[in-house]
Amino acid sequence: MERRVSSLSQGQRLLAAIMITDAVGFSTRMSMDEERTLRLIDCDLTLIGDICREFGGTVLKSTGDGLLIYFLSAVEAVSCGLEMQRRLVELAEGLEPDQYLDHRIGVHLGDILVSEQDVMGNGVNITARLQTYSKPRGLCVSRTIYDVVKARLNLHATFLGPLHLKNIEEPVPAYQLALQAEDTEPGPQGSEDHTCTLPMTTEALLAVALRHLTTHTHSLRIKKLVFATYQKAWENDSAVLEQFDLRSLLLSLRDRNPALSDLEHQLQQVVAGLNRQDLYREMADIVIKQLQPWYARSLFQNPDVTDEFTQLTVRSVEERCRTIAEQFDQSPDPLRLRKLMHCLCHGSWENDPTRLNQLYLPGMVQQLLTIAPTPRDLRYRLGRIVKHLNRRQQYTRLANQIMLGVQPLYQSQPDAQAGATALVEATSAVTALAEPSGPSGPAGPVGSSAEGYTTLTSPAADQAVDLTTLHGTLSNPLGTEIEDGAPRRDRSSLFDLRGAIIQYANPLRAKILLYSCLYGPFGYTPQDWSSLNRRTLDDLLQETFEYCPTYSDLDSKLTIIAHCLGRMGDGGQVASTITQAMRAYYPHDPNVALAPLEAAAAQPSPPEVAPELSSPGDRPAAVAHAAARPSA
Amino acid sequence: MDARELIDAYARGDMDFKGKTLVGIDLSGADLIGANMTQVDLENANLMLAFLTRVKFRQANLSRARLGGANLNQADLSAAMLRDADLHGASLQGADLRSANMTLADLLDANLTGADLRNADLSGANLTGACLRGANLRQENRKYATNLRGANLHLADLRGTNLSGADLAYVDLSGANLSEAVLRDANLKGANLKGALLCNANLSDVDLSGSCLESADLTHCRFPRSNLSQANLNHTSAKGADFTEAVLALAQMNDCDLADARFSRADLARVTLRRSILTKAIMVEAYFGRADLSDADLSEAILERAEISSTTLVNVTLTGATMPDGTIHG
Repeated sequence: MERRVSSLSQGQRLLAAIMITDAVGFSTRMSMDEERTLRLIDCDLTLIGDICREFGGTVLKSTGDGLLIYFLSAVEAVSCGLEMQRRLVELAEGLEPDQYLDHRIGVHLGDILVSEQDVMGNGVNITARLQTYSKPRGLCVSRTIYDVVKARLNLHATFLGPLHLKNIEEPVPAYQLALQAEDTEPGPQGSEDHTCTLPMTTEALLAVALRHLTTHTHSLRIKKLVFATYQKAWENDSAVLEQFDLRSLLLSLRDRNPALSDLEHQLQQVVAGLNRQDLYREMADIVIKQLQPWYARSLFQNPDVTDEFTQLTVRSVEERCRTIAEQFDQSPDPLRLRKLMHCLCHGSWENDPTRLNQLYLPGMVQQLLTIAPTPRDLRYRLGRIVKHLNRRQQYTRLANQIMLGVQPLYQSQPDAQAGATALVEATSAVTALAEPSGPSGPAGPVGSSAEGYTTLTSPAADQAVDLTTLHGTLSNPLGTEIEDGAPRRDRSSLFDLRGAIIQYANPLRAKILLYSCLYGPFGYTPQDWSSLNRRTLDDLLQETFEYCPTYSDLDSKLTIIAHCLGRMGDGGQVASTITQAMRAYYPHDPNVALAPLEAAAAQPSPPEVAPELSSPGDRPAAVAHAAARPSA
Repeated sequence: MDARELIDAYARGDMDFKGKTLVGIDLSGADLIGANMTQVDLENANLMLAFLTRVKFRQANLSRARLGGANLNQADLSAAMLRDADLHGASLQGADLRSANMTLADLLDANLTGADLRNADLSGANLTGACLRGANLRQENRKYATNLRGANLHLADLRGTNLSGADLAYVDLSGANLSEAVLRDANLKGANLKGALLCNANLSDVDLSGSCLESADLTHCRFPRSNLSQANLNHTSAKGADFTEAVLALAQMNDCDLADARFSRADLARVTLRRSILTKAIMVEAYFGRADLSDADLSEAILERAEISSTTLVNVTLTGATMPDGTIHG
């Protein structure tokens, strides 16, 4: 292909509106009729080049089936793009589909850098990715561009939301521009019909599935189900769910379940443990239906390369794990670190030092990557474990140590997406091998270690039941690490609760936090103050009990709002003081996750409480061990 | 001296700001732990959420100062002027507030645990929801008493506080917790104690005339020699309460649980005790002149030498009761 390098001198940087055009389904068409397709593309690119010059744009290079162009004006770039599509559509009018080509156009504002014989820059990469989101005969422009031009041009735009572009770290909010108003209508026909007669990229297929799932009327339920399948813990708090985007959840699930049938099986197992099975079975069907096209396509264009790559990573990963494990063993508190690691990997608390010391730490470190494919997952899991320990401060420190120690592992992933995939694939084999030597089922290790541990008391066992709502099979021995089960308190008199809170937390800060939880973040405005002055701590606590029906609900809501308030609210400490104090006023969670099935069935779950995971008793031991147990 | 200078000086280690004029200064959120603010004029100052533990504010002027959420634990606020100050949600654990003037101050949900409030003037202050556990409000002599006249103590936590001799006339103590509190010789005339918790509280020699104790929890509460005339005690739970020698003339005590209560030598003239439970109550030498005991349960009660000749006893249960003449009712 000809290469038209611009008049831009080498090494020069330029902030410009970058445009990339692309012929839809070019390679397929080439394979069908090479000669005609070449004729068509040559003709189209000439036209595009001419129009571009009319609007003052400069062609930097040709990609074969498209052009890379830059403009010194965003308005010019967008008007030019629309003009190109208009003229191309005019040309195609009345012709048979094989007599013309459709084009996609992406526009973004960014720095471009001309070096040697190529043009580079992150802006160019983003534009190239944006272009794939464009509809044929349309434009996809970043919000940066849109914001600049919207006042000047009359556009038919649809906001696509923040797009997760491949190899681009931050999501890029983008708009779809169309020639006619009706093209912008979102809806099933818009995304599926006339345009995509030609194969879409894997990425685009996922994007289509995501659009369907997120715009579905039960999108929240779908997300809950996907989240539960991924984390093996049921989460009703939408604020927590928001922290995880559906896209990465689905990508991780695909890593874990290479075949659609595996995923279906996993979803059904989760559904089987819910109280509203019919509803969620429907959700599972929707997920499967929507993911079908995406699953039909391999994630990798070039499997050979990936395989090599995987092996390379495995070697270095094993080495790294060993180094990290050594670091952990040399830390001032190796035993506690091992306890925490054990809880992360096996989902149960172990206090027996001999057992702990027998653990093969490097293997466990490696296992972390399967359990928590991203640092965020790891933080979430550690957070959930630490929250339920009584020596919280100590263990928070240790959790941070683990986070810090394991960081190189995550960083070593060369590319956020493909790297994670490769590592998970590599490590899953290790996990599978390690399993037979490990405990065969949830009951095994727990029972034996419970016998070994003598200080077990009955209130402690009670406490453990409470804990299992979050930790899956975390069982009895954990009780010894947890504050003694205080009797459940009566909510009619809250003097003790208030006293417990204000003893360790500033009363005003506690009120601000509770108020924020109930009515949205406190703004320190006169209105907020007068509203707060009208409420006593007692009122706010009573309202909080109503607002948070379960303890876990309270816990996550307060933790999140504390984050929102940040430094000014001194949230973290206040939130933990409050949750700890309020805990005794909550009943044991009736929907104990992974509780024995009979027990779960015997306990009528209150109607207002949304479904929780209960024990999928028929789950194969290996799955239960690898996936369900570290459900913290 | 402005806020910047003051904070810089403090950062340099200069802790002594004695006698400075800092009217209207904005020190919100500032950390001035342990500073010496003796006699400082901080009128109208903003000290919201500031860290002021162990600060010496002795004789300082903090009138109308904003101290909401400030941490004043163990601070010395003795003889400080805190008139109309905003102390909403402030932490004052163990603070020295002796002789402080806190009239009209807003202490909503403030933590005054273990604070020394002797001779402090809290008249008209808002202490709603405040915690005063273990606080010292004791009257040492006639001239050295805590003044709580017209204060609002709704929902306040006063468990175990010593309020002996305190002036609590017409105070709102509704829903407050006064369990184990000592209120000897206190003035609770016309006070509102609706729904208050007074388990094991000591209210001997207290003036409770015209007060409202409706729905209060008076279990094992002691009222010997107290004046409860015209008080409203309807729906109270008063098992084992002690009203020995108390004056209950014209008091309303309908629908009460007074099992095991003691009324020996009490004046119950014109009292209404309709539907109340008085099982095993001890009422030796009690005076029931024109009292109304209709539908009350007095089974196994002891009415020895009690004056019940003019009492309405319609539908009263007297099974096993010891009657005024010493006979057991059959």
